[in-house]
Amino acid sequence: MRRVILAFTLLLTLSACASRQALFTVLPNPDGSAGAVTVDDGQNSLTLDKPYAASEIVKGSAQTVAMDDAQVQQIFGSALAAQPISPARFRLYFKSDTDVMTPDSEGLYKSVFDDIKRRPVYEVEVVGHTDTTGELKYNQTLSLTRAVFIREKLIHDGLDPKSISVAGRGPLDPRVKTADNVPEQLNRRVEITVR
Amino acid sequence: MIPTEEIYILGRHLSSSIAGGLSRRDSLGFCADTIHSLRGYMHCNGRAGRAAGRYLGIATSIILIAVPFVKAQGPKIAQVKNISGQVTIVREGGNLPAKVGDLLYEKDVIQTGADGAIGITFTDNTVMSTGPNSEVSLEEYRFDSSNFNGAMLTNLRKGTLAMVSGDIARSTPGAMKVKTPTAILGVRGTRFAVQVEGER
Repeated sequence: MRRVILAFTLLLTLSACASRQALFTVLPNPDGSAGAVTVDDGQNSLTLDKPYAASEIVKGSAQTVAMDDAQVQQIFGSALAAQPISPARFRLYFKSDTDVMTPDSEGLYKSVFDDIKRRPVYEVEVVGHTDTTGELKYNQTLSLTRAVFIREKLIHDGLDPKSISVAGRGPLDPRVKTADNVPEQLNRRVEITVR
Repeated sequence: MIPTEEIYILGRHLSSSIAGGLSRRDSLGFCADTIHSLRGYMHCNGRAGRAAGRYLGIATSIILIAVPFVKAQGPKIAQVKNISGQVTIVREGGNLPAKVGDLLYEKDVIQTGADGAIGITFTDNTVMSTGPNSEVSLEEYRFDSSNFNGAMLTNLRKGTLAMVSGDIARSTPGAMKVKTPTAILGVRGTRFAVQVEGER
């Protein structure tokens, strides 16, 4: 009897070893939506496109597997706890032909500053833009001036200069496409990326 | 007061423009305009006199010449944002303990100990974090922030990985992949996790 039990236990242990080689799972976005991934095991390709859609590789072959938040926390809890604050993007707008912000953007500036400041370490990219009124070279300078203005304001308010970069794209990367020499407030802006 | 900060920024911008794949002439052309504009800006502001403008001109000319000789490892591709426990970066055969704020480069390998975990963000705004007993190689990464073109291949050799994809995956189908010993993951977006069993 004991020999049978021993053999059975050994068999169970052996089958547990022939187990999962890899696991892939889609996770939900904060709003409950999800993207998609494809799992290619060399023979077949599987698409996972719902929250908690998951696939495991066993003996080199991909098969779907059930997944839920509890299992995700158990397997990936440490990795998820180390996940950085998501990057954020902001736009601030300027009055025509100036590096002076519109009143609305003056108000928005504080929330941009606060978003950056809450991060233990940050990288900020400020890219300035103009509309198509005026000359190209002038607008290249103006767009860079806008970016530099924002950078200097952020530094003055306490941020680290080495963590903020600037660039100017002139009128070449509009938010709203227009013909030449068309004033457009939505293009007179800086785009700020924070991560 | 002294325009050294602007020079530093311009230098970084130059190296990332050139590394981003723009032709050297394009990037130098753009930057020559930018430098010209910057000198113009400084001059017009009255904060810097002609002497400073000349200094800026000389210093930026030095940067323009120096940039092609930057280190072989290429531009930074990511920054470490979170660390807990023991985490090591393996680079060009050497080991460095990882710290918050460290910059990461293509070909870097991240290793976490039994208590280790790390979170990083890439220049395309992809977010990646790794749990304990893991090894991840940043095998391939290139990204041009002016047009969002790029490619990314991360190799999870063992352990756990959680990612939120960024601009590379969003802009180009098939451009972001995660490799494991038994399968390759193609990423269309957005949040996902991967576990690879290690050697026993």
